[in-house]
Amino acid sequence: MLKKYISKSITVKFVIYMLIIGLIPLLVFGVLAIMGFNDILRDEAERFNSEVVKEKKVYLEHLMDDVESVIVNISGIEEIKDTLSQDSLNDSVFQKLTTQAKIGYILSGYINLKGLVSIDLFSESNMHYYVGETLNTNRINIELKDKILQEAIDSKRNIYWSGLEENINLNSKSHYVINAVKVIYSSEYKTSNVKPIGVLIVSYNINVFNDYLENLKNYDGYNIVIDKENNIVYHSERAYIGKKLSDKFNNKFTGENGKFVVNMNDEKHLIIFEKTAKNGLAIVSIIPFKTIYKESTYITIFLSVILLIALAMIIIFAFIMSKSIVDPIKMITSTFKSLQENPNILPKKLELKNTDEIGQLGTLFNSFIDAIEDISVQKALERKLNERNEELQSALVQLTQTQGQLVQQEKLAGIGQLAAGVAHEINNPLGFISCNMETLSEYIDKYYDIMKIYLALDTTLYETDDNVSKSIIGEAIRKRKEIDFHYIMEDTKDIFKDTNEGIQRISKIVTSMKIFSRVNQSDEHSEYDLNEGIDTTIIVANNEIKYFAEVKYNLGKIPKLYADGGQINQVLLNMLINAVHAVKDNHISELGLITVTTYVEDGYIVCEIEDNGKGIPPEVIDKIFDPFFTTKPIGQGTGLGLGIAYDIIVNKHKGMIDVESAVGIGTKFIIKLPVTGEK
Amino acid sequence: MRKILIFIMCIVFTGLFIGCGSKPSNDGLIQDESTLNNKDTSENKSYNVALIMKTLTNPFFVKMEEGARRAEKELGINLIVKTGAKETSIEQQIGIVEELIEQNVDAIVIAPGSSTELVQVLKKAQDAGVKIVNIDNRLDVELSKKVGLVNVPFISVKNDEGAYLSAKYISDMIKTPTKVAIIEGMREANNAKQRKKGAEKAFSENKNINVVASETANWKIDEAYDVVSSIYKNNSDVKAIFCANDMMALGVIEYLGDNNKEDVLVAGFDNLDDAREAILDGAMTVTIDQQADVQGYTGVMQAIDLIEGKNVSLETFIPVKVVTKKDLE
Repeated sequence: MLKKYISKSITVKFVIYMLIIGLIPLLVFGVLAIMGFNDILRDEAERFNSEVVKEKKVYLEHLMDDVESVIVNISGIEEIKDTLSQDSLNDSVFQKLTTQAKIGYILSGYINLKGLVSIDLFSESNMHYYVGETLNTNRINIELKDKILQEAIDSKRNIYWSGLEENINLNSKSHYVINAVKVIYSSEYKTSNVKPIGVLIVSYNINVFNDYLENLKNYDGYNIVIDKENNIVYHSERAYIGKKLSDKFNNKFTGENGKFVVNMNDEKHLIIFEKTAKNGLAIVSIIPFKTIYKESTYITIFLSVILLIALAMIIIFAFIMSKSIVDPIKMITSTFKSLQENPNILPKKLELKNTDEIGQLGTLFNSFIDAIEDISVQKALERKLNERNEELQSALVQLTQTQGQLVQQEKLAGIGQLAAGVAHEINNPLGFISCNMETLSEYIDKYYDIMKIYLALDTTLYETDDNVSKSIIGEAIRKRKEIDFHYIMEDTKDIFKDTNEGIQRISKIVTSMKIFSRVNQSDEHSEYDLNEGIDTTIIVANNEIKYFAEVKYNLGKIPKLYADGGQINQVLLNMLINAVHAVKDNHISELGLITVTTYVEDGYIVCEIEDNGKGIPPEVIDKIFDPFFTTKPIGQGTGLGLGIAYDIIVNKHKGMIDVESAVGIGTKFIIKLPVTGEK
Repeated sequence: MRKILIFIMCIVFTGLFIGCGSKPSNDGLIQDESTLNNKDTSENKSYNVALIMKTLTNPFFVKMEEGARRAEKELGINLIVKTGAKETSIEQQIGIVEELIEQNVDAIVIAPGSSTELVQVLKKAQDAGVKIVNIDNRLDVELSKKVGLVNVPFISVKNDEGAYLSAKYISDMIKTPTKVAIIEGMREANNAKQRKKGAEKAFSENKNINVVASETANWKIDEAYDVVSSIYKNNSDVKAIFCANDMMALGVIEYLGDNNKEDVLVAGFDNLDDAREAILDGAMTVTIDQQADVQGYTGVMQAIDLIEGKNVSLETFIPVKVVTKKDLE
C-alpha cells in the first residue's frame, strides 16, 4: 500500500530521497558522534571519580589512623589499666567518684579529635567511664556493647573497627556511629591465661567531615560511606544515616575497589567505590548518568536543531518543487484526463513561469492544446457533417418512403385508372359475350333437345330396309362414335358451364376493378348498419361460402355508423372470400368454420372475422395489405383485395384493420370503425 | 514522520539532561524509603547554644545538662555541651569558649570555673555576636563592667543564703562548744566566696561554735579528702564541717569513715544523689538543692530570648531547698 503511494508521487519520492541522502546520514553521524562523546564522558567520569574516591578513602584511613592513635595512647596509660585491673563492685562512693573523676580527666584529654563522639571505657563488671557529647550516662545499651566486644575479640585484631552501630549511650545525640574498639587484656606479655579486663570503645562519626566527603561540584552525584553490611555510615542528608542500601547493591561491593552500574528510580547511576583496609568501610560515589552525559546535551540539542532545520528545508524544497515541477505536470496530466473523458471540451492552456524543462514542456503542451483545438474544430465540423449526413439519410429514407408511397399511390392511381379503363373496355364485350353465351347456351339446349329426338330415331331407323337410309344412319352412327358424340354432348355442357364461370369470374374481376377504381373517385357516407351489411354480404357470397365453410354469427348490439356502405360491404366481401379460400385450402374433406363477431369497444364498432383456415405465415403477414400481394397461384387473385380494404377502413373511414394468425390454426381479421364515423 | 519522532525524543532527552540538581532524595538508594524521616535531629535546628560547665566529674552538672536538654527539646534548638576536665580546668574552659567562637555558636550558657579569668574571653565572644548567659557561678561584676561585658543575665541561687541555711542546720544542732571547719570551693569563684560567707554567718550566730579551719579543696572530692585529713592532723576534735559542695562533703565523709570519726556533722551543698544516700545513712546531715536542672533550663531559655532580641531580666534567683534526712524518708 505504502509502496504504491510512494511510487505515485514525485514529491514523496523526492522527500524520501532527500531524507536518505541528507537527513539520515546526518542523523546517523550525529547519533554516533553523540554516542562516542558519551563514551568519552563516561570514561572521564569514571576515571576522575575513581581518583577522587581513592583520595577520600586515603583521607578516611588517615582519620581512622588518628583515632587509632588515640586508642593506642589511651590504652597505654597505666592508670587505665590499673583501674580496670582493680575493678570491683564494692568500691565506695568515694572511690567510685574519684575514679570517675580520674579516668574522666584522662579521657577528656583525648576527646577533642574532630569526629570523635565519645570514648567509653568498660570494665569487666561494666563500670563505665565516659566522655562525650553529654554528661548523662544513665542509659547504656549493654547488649550492644557486649556484641561489639565480642566482635572485637573474635576479630583478633589489635584495634577492631565495627560497622555502623547505634550509639551505646542512648542519651547521645549521635544515633549512629562507627566504633574503634580495643580489648584490654589482663596482660600483654603473658601468652597464656589472657583474659579481657575491659574494652575501650571510641565512637566516631564521620559525618562531621561532610565538607570533605561531599562530592566536588563537578558532577551532580554524591558520596556516601557504607560499612561491610551496606549500612550507610555517612550521607550528606542526616536522614539516610543508618539506613541499609537497597537490595540492588547486594554483593556489588566486592574487592577493594570497583565500579558498576545500578538503576535507581529507573535512572542509571554509575557507582564507584573504594574500600578502606581497616574495616571494609567503603567510600561510594554515586553519579547519575544524566549528569555524566549532561555535556552531550548541548551536542544533542545542536544536532536536533540541525536536523530540524534540515527537515524544514526538505519540506520547504519539497513544497517548492511540488509547486514548480509537480503541479505543472499534474495540470498536464489532468488536462489529458479531461480530454479523454470529454474530447469535445477544450482544455485551458498552461501559464508557467518556469524557464526549465518544465517550462519547455509547458510551451509544447500549449502548442499541443492549439493542435487539439484545430483537431477539435475539425472534429466539430466532422460531427456537424455527420449530423447533416444523418439528417440527410433520414430525409432520404423518408423521401424514398414517401417516394415509394407516392409511387404506390401513383401506381394505385394508375392501376385504378387502368383498372377503370380495362374494366370499362372489358365490360362491353363482356356484356355481349355474356349475353351471347346465355343465348348460345339456350340454343345448345335446344339442339340437344332436337338431337335427343333424332337420336331416338336412330335405332328405329336402323331397323329399316331402306338401304339408302340405312347407310346414311349407319354413317351417322359411325360418325357419332368417331366424334364421340355422347362425350361431346356432355362436354359441351361442361364447356358452357366453365365458360360461364369464366365469364362470371371476369365479370367479378371487372366489378372489383371498377370498385377499386371507384374507391379513388367518390366516397359517400351515410347511415349504415354493419350487422345488416354482414348479412347482405354473406347472402351475396353464400354461393362461394356454402361448399366450404359454415358461418357462425356473434352479432352484438351495435349502433349505426356513418360510412360508405358499399365500400364497407366490399371489405366484408373480400374478407369473407379470403376466409373461405383459407378454409378451403385447409379443410379439404370437411367444412371449415367462419365466425363473424361484432361488438362495441372503446368508441369503436369492432367486427371480427375468424376462420380456421390454413393461417398466414409470419413472414408474409406484414405484406398482406400490400397492393398486388397475393399468395394465391397466378390467375386466382389480383392481390388487391386487402389493399383496398385497408384503404377503405383506415383512410376513408379512420378505422383500424388488424390481423392475427397462426399457421395451421386460423386467421382472425379485426376491423374497427369509429362509432361517430366521419364524413 | 520518523524525523518528527526522533526530534521529539531528542527534546525529551535534552529536557531530562538539563534540569535536576544535586542530591536526590528518595532516589532508590536505600531499602525502605518510607522510613526516611529526620530522626537524627542534629543539624537541622535553628540555633546553636553551647552549655559550658565546670567539670564532667561532678554529678551536679549532669542535672544541669538535663535541664538544658529539656529546653533544647522544647525549643527545637541544638545544644552543645562542653565541660572542663576538672573543676580547676579554667584554661580548658577558656579554650572551649575560643573554640565556640570559631564555630559561630549563637549563644553560650556558662557556669564558669573562675569568676574572673573567663571575663575577657567571654567579652570576646560577646563582641563576636555570641549571646552570653551566666549560671551557677557569677562572673565578677566589676571586672565585667570594666571590660565592657554587660547585659549578661545571671541565673543562680543565692549562694550565701543556701550556705547559711545548710550551715545553720548543723549549727543549730550544736549546743556545746564545738570546733567546726569550713571546706571552701575555688577561691576565685564568686559562689565559693558567697557560700563561705553564708556559712561563716551561720556559725557566727552560735556562740558555741569555733571555726578552727577554713580551707579550700577546690570543689574536688579527692582534694577534700586530703584537706580534711590535714585539718584533723591539727585539730583532731572537729565535730562539724561545712563543705561548700557535696563532692567535697563526700570526700570528707570518706575520710571520716576511714578514720572512724563518728558523730561529725557534715553539711554539704548541691543535693547529689550520693549525698542523699549519705544523708540517709547518717554520714551526712544536710545538703542544699539548688535545682541545677532549673538553672540549666532557664539558662538556655534566656539564651534563646537574647538571640531573639527579647528582654531578659539580668538576675534570676532560684530558691534553694534544704534537704535533710526527714525530707528523704
